[in-house]
Amino acid sequence: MTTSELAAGPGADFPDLVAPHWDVLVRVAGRLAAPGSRDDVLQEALALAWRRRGSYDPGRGSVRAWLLAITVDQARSSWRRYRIWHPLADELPAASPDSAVRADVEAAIAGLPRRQRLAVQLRYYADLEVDDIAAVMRCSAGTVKSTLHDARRALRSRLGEDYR
Amino acid sequence: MTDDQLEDLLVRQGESWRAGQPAAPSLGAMTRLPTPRDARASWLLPALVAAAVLVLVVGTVTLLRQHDPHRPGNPATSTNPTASPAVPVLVPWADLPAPARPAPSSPPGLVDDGVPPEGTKSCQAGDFAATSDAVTPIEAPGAAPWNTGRYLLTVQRVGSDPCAIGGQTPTVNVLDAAGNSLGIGRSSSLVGYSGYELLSPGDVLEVPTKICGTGIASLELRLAVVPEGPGRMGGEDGATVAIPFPGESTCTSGSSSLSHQRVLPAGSLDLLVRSYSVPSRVRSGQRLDYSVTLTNPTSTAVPLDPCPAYRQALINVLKLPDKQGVTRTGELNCAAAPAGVAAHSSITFQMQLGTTGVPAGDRRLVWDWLGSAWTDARGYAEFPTVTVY
Repeated sequence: MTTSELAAGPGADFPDLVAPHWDVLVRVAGRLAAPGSRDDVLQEALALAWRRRGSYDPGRGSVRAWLLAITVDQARSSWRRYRIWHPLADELPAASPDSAVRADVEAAIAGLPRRQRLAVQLRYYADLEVDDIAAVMRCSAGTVKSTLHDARRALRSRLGEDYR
Repeated sequence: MTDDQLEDLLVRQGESWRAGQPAAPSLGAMTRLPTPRDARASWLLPALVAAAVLVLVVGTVTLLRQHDPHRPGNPATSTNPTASPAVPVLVPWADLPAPARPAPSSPPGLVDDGVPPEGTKSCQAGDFAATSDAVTPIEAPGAAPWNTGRYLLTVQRVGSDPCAIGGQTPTVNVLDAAGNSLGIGRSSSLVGYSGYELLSPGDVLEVPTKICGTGIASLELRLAVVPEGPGRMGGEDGATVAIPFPGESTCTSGSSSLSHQRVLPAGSLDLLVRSYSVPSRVRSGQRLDYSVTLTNPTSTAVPLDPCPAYRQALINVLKLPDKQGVTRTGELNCAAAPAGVAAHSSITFQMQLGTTGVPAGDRRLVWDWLGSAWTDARGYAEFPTVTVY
């Protein structure tokens, strides 16, 4: 499956198109979606991608980046829906109490500015490469690296210099 | 803590988080065809509710139907809703080409992509009126906690000309008495995303939603503006309809969806409820014999004049018809049918569709009026599945 075939529309086999990127989409949805919404986000992202497949422009980015952007948008929407029932919820899953370190790190990440937080989640939790993160955040790879650098500095400050 | 130590910590945390994630859902399951159960939940039930409302609307309208002397039967023209159903009519198959003229069709509602036709008005707040029962509890008192607090927000298009809203799902702002926001949420329905919704005068928008919390004084239903265009996911601005909130509510979770009830003119083909009698399996290359029953639930006859054209297809929703199925158009065998579908009556049309070249696998047998918007994936769930082997 090539991007030109997708752009052409007719003949495109949608599941084959998505399959190479499915694992990363699952991770991104799992990390960014509101609690309990991962599979709904994936389903909505797939439906939207299928409905929009004819308007995909390969000149604006790869299929992977296109699918990631849709998934991230849907994950963001899941929080908008979630907040009406949980108005104080933040865009991070609740930390599991089984790990004090995990709770500390999650809390520190929760306190980061929005774009730093997104970059950290995509890089370390969703395990995305910098180029993919850049596509999602609609910025350059250099900007992603700079954002991650700032985020790590902020996390060190929040966790404390002696934190191990 | 050094930068390297923090890097290691984050990598380990990420690995630990990924290891603790539930199994990834199957892509195949995610891209399967909707089941009839899905259809009942997401499409059919709103459609039946809409049909019930429309029965009330059209019940007061008398349709002047024309009688075609060349047709063997003359359907009942009674507007008495209690009239006994007529004897079922079975119309044999005839291979008739679709006419060149456009089929009568209702104005489009949801349009998936693109922008409205030039000159289409974008809906403003004054184009809507919240009905007196704008906020209605759906569940009865005493319902389970997770089912309480669901409300049906209803606004009606007023005015004399159609207008369009963006396909983005509406936002519901929850406000206190001072107008401060207490929360925000969106419905989860597939309204159209990058497309638009054309609302005719009298059309009703219903937004089931859950309203939670205390101190709620009013709601704002914010509808996206048009055009949004492909690739734009925004739509924060738009027509805002204020809705008073009658009381307190508590709830913990839930989702909502929007339905658009179109006002169809009396006698519209879209008022007919379709059902299908279809074999579950057919050998590839063999002819598929099935039937479509058109039932008129209204108290006004629906004329088959001009004779309607249809489109039938055996396809996979996620693969395109020209590669994975077959599509044919034609005209109903009106010469052997009554002049219309009488009130509270049915007509069954026998149909045929060749399956030459259709590869093995599950397909949907899609049948719709020619010219109607049938490309919305939601609608496929209403059609029966046929296994080609």
